[in-house]
Amino acid sequence: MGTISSLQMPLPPDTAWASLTTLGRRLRAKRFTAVELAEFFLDRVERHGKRLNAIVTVSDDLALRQAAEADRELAAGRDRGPLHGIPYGAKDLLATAGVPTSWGAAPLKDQMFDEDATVVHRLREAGAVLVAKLAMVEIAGGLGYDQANASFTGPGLNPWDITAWSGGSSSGSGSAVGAGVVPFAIGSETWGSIMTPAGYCGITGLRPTYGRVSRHGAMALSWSLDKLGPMTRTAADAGLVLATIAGPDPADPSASTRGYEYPAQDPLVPPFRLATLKGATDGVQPAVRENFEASLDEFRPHATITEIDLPELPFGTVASTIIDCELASAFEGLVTSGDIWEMSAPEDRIGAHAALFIPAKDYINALRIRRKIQLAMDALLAPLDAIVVPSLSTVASPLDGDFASYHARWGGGVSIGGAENAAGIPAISVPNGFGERGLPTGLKFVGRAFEENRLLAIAEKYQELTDWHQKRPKGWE
Amino acid sequence: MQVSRRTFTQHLITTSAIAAAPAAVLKADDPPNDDKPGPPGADAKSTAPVDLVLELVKRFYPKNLDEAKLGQIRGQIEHHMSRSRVLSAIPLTNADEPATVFAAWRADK
Repeated sequence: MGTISSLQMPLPPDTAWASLTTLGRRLRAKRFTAVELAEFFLDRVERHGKRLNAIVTVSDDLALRQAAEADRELAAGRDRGPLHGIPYGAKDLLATAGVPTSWGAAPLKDQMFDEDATVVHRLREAGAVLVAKLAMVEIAGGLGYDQANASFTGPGLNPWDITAWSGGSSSGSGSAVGAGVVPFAIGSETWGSIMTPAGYCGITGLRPTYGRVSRHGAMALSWSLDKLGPMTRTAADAGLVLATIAGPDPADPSASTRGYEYPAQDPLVPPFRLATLKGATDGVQPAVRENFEASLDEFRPHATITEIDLPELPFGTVASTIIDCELASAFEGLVTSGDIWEMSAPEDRIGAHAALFIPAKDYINALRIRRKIQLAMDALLAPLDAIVVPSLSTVASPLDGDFASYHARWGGGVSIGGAENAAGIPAISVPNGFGERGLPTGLKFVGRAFEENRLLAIAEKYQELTDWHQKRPKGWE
Repeated sequence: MQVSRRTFTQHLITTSAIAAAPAAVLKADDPPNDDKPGPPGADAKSTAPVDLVLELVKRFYPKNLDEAKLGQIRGQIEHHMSRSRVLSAIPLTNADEPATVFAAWRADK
């Protein structure tokens, strides 16, 4: 891999924070070339991304080749669309031919695949430029980590305060977008892995409906719960990326055949039908509650806001049982090979053992109750455009110490996270202010299956009414 | 020795391998488990279900398992058993099918 540190940087610093649309417009106006744009972000990957522990591998040779090709095509009149020539980073659980894919785990740090994940392939076909594989919690957090230091690349650092955690398991995706290291990133969520780093790092994270995006070539933690999605600075950017990566895929039987396009032909307009969740702000940090209430106030002229109860079902129990059983099947080899003992977090070394002996009937029962959850959540959401809740009960935890101790005080109120992921329904998190230690707080909208565009319309309205998504952490110029 | 409700809840949080974002950030909805037998490793010859499963772990995957690690694994087994009781408490009829989709496969279709 070559060095880019000596290159001239002709691009203005605000390039690092520009929207995808703005970058594309400037590229087509010849304010810079795709190669110059790639060099600009490769420089940020080196200077800032590595300092945040956000980078696993810098794909500079590949990026410069892809960027040069993007320039040649634009010069020849071939325009592949809004991501043409735009750099991005991919969570290091997405297979990339010729570039290692570590899954965040020390014993797998040199793992190579022969082909790109479908998502990576689609982004390449759209002209996007892969500049880095981004850090993640080992095995996407499936082994039960309880601390920030749970990856062979070290703990993910938060760009707003490097003594705080970036969130996980899409740690590098969250912090790299938050620090303007990449214009957008791809993350994954089984339960919380896009929403948490998006909330902690003050960015926009979209977790699509299960099946909206092909999982082919992505590390499987839990086949029936894993979702891939965009992590961006704006909701509009998330829509553009989702439109690129969504769609059916013969290589992934779970990939939906439903079409998706963004912008929507018939976009949702106010007044929105929103509902808050009874008890959702109980036990959250005061600033989380204040920012949530201020966000609702922003929406009141543009929405009807009701309060609802979650159905009485064991959401978290169902989701965690399914995840544990599927990860036990997916990763028994880590235990039998002994590779498990090379995991970074001590608790991750023992995390899979007990899961190997969960009775099959518990898994099946969880799947049976999951169907009830799907029906109940769909009925709950049918008369609504979205349920709105705080993204997380706290701001980012400090790097030191275990999560359980930090969250013992602010355990949060009624949580919809288990229900969302058990049901496979979409959600988007957007920044909505700042709390303790100057760290971001987030606002989450949860919608009916395959209604990402409703969520995007609501989130875009919020970002039209506020400027939290335009705030930039200091020190990453 | 009886495990207190608070201690067990804390134990649930710290030992649960519930994936992805950390368990402490997420929220488990498992009830506390006050009716379990003694603490990790208390009685190696116990025939309590948790110890029988722990014995299976030791027999099938013995590598590197010391008493401290076995204690953690025992806590996880207790957690799984607690979840099992929650799942079993939900009424299910014969018509309640699992949320899985299986289809017969032909490569040319």
